[in-house]
Amino acid sequence: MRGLLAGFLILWTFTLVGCTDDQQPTKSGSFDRSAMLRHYADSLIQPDFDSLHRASQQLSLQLEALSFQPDVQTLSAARIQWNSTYRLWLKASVWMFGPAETSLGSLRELTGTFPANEARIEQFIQASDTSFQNFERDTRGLFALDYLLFDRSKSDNQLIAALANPGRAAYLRALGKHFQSQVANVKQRWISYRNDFVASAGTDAGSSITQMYNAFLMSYEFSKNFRLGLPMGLRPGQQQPEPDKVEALHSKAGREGLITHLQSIHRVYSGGSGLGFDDYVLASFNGQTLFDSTSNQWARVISAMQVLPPAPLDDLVRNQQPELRSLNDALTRMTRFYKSEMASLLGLTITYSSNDGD
Amino acid sequence: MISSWRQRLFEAADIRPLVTLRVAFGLMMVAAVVRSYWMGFVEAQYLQPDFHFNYYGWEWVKPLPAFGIHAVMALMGIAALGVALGAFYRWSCAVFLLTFSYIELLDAAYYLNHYYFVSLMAFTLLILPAHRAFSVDVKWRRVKAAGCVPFWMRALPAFWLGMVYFYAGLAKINADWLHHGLPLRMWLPAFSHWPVVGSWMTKPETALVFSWAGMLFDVSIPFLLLNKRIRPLAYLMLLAFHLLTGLMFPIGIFPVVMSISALVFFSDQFHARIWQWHGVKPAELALQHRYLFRFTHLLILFQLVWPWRYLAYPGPLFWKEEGYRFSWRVMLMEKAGTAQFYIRDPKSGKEWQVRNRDYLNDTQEKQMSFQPDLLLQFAHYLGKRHLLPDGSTPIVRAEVWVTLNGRRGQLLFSPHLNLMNLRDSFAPKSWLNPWNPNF
Repeated sequence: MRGLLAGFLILWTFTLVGCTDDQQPTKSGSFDRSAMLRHYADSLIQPDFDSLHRASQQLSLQLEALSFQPDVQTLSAARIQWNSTYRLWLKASVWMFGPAETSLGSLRELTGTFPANEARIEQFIQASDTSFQNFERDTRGLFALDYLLFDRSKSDNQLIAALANPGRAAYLRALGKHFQSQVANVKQRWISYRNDFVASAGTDAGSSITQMYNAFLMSYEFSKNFRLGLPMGLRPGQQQPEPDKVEALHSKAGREGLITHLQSIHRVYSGGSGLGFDDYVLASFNGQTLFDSTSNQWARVISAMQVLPPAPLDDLVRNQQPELRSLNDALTRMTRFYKSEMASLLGLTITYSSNDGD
Repeated sequence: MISSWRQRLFEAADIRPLVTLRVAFGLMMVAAVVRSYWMGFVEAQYLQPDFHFNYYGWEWVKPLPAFGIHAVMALMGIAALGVALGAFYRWSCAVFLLTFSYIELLDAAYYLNHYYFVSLMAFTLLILPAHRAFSVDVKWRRVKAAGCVPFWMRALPAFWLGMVYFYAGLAKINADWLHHGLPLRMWLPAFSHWPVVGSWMTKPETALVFSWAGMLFDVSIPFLLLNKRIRPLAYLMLLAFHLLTGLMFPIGIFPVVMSISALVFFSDQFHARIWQWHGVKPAELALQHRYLFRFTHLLILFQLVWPWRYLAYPGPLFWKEEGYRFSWRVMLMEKAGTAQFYIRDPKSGKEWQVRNRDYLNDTQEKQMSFQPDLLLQFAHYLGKRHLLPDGSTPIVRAEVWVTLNGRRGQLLFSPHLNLMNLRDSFAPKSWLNPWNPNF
């Protein structure tokens, strides 16, 4: 027994001597994950869905008014409401998990698939089909409205005149109601989900933090790959830029949309004014330098956004503005901080499904 | 001395520990097949992905269409039941081994040590006459009952089990594990919300205690289980160890497989209580199997030597992973990567950015992102899939940042390398960057 003990002491000494690193990693402290989850649920997520819900109610009313009395005022009012709803929708689109994730898809997919399928929308209008009993998500949601309210190939008067068609007016109303009901479902489900969300304070595959983190990462990569990469023609197989594949093509809100979304992504990371992932990183083993790198890179993303010329995104793409490339590079460099380093440090699994490991 | 050992190895030993192992293993594997459907693994891992990662040298193992995969899984389940019942035993073992290994070889991204252990155990059962008692084969008089087997046959499964623990323990003897308490220092804070013990989980000292305890447990448990007096206590420790790791980490069926398999360390009397002879105890020995015995030597030699092959590479092992698999390195490091691939047309200079999820599922992407051989395979897949308009192969490069045990990410290799010019082999991967172990 004494020999055994001596053996392990030698081994222990050996490992101490064998260490070549002179720098000691920073200390990890305790971190109150439940408090963080409470903050996210009560100060960020639920308020975001509440605001979006109120906006969707307003939007539905404005669309109804427009459909019954199409004129310059009602069109303008509906457009203004669409724009503010779009911003709030982008803010909420970073929370696509739990109540916002159904078997039919996430709220983002159900209400914001782009580009909209304009030809199919026209067919549904022709057929007076407002049932939405199909899987064609690109015929409804915000970007179907983007087409009906802002169609860039038509003048305002033409758009107003077109709404004299009762089928078109009915489709517009139905889009508003459908959007509102989808948002209302999520808001409603969050009320009962909230306590479960806060109570699940672990970091395993099904835990709140892992779900929220994965939704954050997916949302981040969605902007990088689809809001930006897709129109820029960066996806394998694309022969040239495709400016018509920007989000919110007709309203020309895509540039502000991209910025709003990236700011919302940063808000998920920072937790706004309260406990967030950034504090969690700081409290984790060797977290300080990752925290610093992430902050520095975010500053680069901000400056890349600030220098984007004030023109619609599709124009920027068409002109192949180098600033877009810089923004894309800045976002690409950010990926590893958010993706592997943060997940590894916090012990989160990048997966929706449970998986065996060893 | 040696001749007396040899004699001992051929002495008659009770067959019933092998019967326990056969039945338990078969039933666990039936459960594993059901579980893989229940958890959606079959669909997500084998049916959905367009692309699968090969093991070097096993590229010829190709996925079957969906009904083929389901048929293989069904056969595997039936064969596992056959093993448990001892029905058409050798065939059942062979079919189970083949179907299980086939599924495992389909995709290297899903490599798990415990799957490899299952293959080893299945092969062992195939060569051992564990069906010569308490089996359908005996009942149907397909084989003669036997009460005994040569001692080496009874000892072989226990040897494998001991080897797995011992090698897993040896692998933990490194500075990160024993000096820094890594990666447990990163993993334990996830349980800070546990009642009572939660607050300890964030302390570095706790990680060190767990690390040392884990290493000491692994290297010593085979010997403790061999000692008759200590065995009950050692087995309790083993149960506690697997219960705790099973609760804390997503390691699937591994804790159950190990806990139940370890029953082979128990005495003949223990197993005799489970399997009681009614009537006359069959006394014949199963065949002596001299050739089988010699073959087993080779197998043991291979198993003992193979995990050390990493010494033939310049290393470091954890960074380059040359010789990492099939060596019982279990839950040993926290490693993750972000791999951004680029496809480039050398003529026009146009470059595309790859979204890995367009081709891979989340497990595949995660595993690939830090394993050099898998990264290379994916690069070649991309190059062949996205031929240039004139039919030529594009340049495929990748920027891969890997973090190991909480260190900041480092570039695994130069992002300027055209990966299409590299081929995988057993030779050291000199194109990988050296690793900086500082924090």
